[in-house]
Amino acid sequence: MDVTLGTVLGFVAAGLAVIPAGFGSAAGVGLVGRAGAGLITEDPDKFGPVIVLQALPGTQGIYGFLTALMIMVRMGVLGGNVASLTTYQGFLFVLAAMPVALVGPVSAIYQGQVAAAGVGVVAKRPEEMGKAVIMAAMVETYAVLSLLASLLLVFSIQV
Amino acid sequence: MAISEMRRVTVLGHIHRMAQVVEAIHALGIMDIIEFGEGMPDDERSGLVVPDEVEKRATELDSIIADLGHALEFLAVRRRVAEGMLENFTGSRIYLTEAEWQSETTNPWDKARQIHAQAHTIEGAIAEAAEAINRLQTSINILEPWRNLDSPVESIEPSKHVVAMLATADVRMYRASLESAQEQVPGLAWQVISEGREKAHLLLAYPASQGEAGASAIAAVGLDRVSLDQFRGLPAHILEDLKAQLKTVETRRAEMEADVDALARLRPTIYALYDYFVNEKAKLDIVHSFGGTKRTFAVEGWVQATHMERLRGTLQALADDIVVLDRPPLDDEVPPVELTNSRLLEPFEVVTKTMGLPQPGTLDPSPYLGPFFLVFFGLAMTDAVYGIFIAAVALWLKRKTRQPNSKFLNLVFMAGLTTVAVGALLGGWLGDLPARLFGIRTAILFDPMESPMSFLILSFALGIVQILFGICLKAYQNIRTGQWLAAIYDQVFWLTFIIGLGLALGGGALGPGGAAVAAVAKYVAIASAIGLVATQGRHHRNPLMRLGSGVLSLYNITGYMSDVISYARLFGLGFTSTVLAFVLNDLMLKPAGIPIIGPVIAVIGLAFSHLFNILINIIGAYVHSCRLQFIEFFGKFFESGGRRFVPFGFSAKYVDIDRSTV
Repeated sequence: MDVTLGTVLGFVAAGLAVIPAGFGSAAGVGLVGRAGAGLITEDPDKFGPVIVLQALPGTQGIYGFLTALMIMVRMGVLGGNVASLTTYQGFLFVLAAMPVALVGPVSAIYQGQVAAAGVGVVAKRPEEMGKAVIMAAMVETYAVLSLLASLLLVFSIQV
Repeated sequence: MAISEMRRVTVLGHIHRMAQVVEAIHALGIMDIIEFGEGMPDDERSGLVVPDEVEKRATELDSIIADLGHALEFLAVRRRVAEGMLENFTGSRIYLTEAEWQSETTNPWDKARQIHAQAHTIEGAIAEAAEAINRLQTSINILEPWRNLDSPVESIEPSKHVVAMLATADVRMYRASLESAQEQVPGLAWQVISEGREKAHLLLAYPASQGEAGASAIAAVGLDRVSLDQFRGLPAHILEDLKAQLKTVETRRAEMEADVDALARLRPTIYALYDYFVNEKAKLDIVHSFGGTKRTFAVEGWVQATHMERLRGTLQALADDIVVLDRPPLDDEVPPVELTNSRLLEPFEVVTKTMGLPQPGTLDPSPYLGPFFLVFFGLAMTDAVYGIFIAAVALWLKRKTRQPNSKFLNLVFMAGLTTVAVGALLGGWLGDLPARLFGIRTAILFDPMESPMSFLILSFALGIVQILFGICLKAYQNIRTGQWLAAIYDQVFWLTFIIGLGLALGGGALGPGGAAVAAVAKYVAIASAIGLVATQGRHHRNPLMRLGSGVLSLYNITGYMSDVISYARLFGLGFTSTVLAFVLNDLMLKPAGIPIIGPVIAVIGLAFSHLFNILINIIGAYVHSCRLQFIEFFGKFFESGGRRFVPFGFSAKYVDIDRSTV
């Protein structure tokens, strides 16, 4: 394989997709985890509901990873034959990664905040836990839309 | 198959029947008791004057419940309930047959008092032992540095000629300190008893003739006088004695663990008694919402119409002088809401109830959301094997948690089965494993990896279908309540407008004849739009305002569009699970070529990685399938705000009783 600037940019694009979203999800999941640990010290029986809330802001990390995977598939990284991209193609991959790279981390942190507040719901009114989960899932809509935009862009790039 | 019909019930009787009636209603568990004379002016409603002995019994119950709760807390700290991973999610409950429950709760007061006494004694003894150990340990710590002092501590005291004292000083400085003290106090002598890490322990003596000057000189160089007045005898002997005592107390303390174990073995009994007394207390407390006179009582509440005869039969069988009246709700009364559906449809009530109950007299959305929920869940998981796994786990949990009728687990089971069907359609059998291993192409409909756009379009199409269906339900509801015009203006026009607009824009792609369809659809859309403009402002009087808000209402089309776009999450979730399965297969099959151990590694790796894929996807699949119902679907017709029907009956924190085994 010839390492071109385009190929390098393609690798940068995969990193851009996965890194910020991963940071954001780690922050979001961590935030809910801290709130949840506080509740568990008082009431260990609430572990189940808390772990569901904690998992919610983790999806942005997965979406980022998914986008990176699709970039890798398009570049042939998984098959072992990395394509030599032109500089423009590389730039296009970088741009395609942007929606998930920007919306992913921000929405993960906000979703973490909503889910952490939901831990309070689980503590005081466990029967209403479903509503807390749905409120956190509202935030995720925008992560899904950014994933969609990134994926459609990645699919559109001719390699 | 809808919201249950409710009957308003009043039960009247003589005051000496009250306990019997409460007992019977509690045992039936089908009546939602409300405050007597709710809505009446205060001077007209005649609340029951609760007799003093009832209040007294309630206080006794409170105290025994607190005692048992305390015993459970004490045990919770000392002996963890042996919990598996499963109990972390379900909470720790115990299962009793009816017979076991009966035997646990015979002689409840004696048992409870005995348990309380037992817990109290152990707790007191443990606290006492802890205190004794602490005290002895402190004494030992104080005396230990003086072990080598070879005279009894009480003999170290000022005498006629010599002042003797014990002192400590900084271990690094004390020699210098002593030497400088010696210059000021001639005749000062000392003996080093021990040197610790920080302090040196010293025996000092100086002639009594030095008097106060000696004491102050010694203090001035940083030597601290130590008093061991609380001890008598040789330090070494005292220490031996203290250690012997400590050992005795510690042995006694260790023996108490056996008592704690004995108490912990009683935990199921404590659970049963706790729940028994809490229910007894509830039976006493409920009379506060009764009405009555000096000699009569009256209970008001709601009962599902289907249960009415059971309630009446049971209560009237108690005695001839008990009266049960029932009637349908009045217009100004808001009955509580309970959903009744067939066995097949009742699992979907779980989804509805997460959002909240519909108002009385409106539609129960559970049967309508069911098929959508299942298909959405299936699309979000997109794998037949995952579906089999989920359905199997749901069955296993039903057995394990002894909840054969759990609506939630039935819902998960059905969702699992649908996932099998959807997975088969889209060719997901542990991702693309069949293609990799045997070269079989499994997709019946299309392969999401090859044509992701088809997946996206399928998601949008399902969204359009569900949204149109929601509008139809609202129309149905309007027609049911006689609002024909509202149904035409607010729903039919929108239906024709959305369908017309959709076909006008996309009809050309339908193949031959598509152009003609599109042309017709264009006029349908225009006509519907005119209809909407003409009717959507009808609540305004001013004709200009009518027209203005009619035109503005067309802007709501953006709301419908964003609703449809929201269904893209199905593609997002489903594609995630498909791609992850693909990549995990890719990675895990890499070592399969290594002789002998390769396939083993591959099989283990595949098992773990697909389990991981299920775990990270299942929460999202469930939550987002729910969300699409609540926001996009319910938004079209659902009227929330129903009050939950909460029948007065047995409720337990720790115990589940299997009533079927009587």
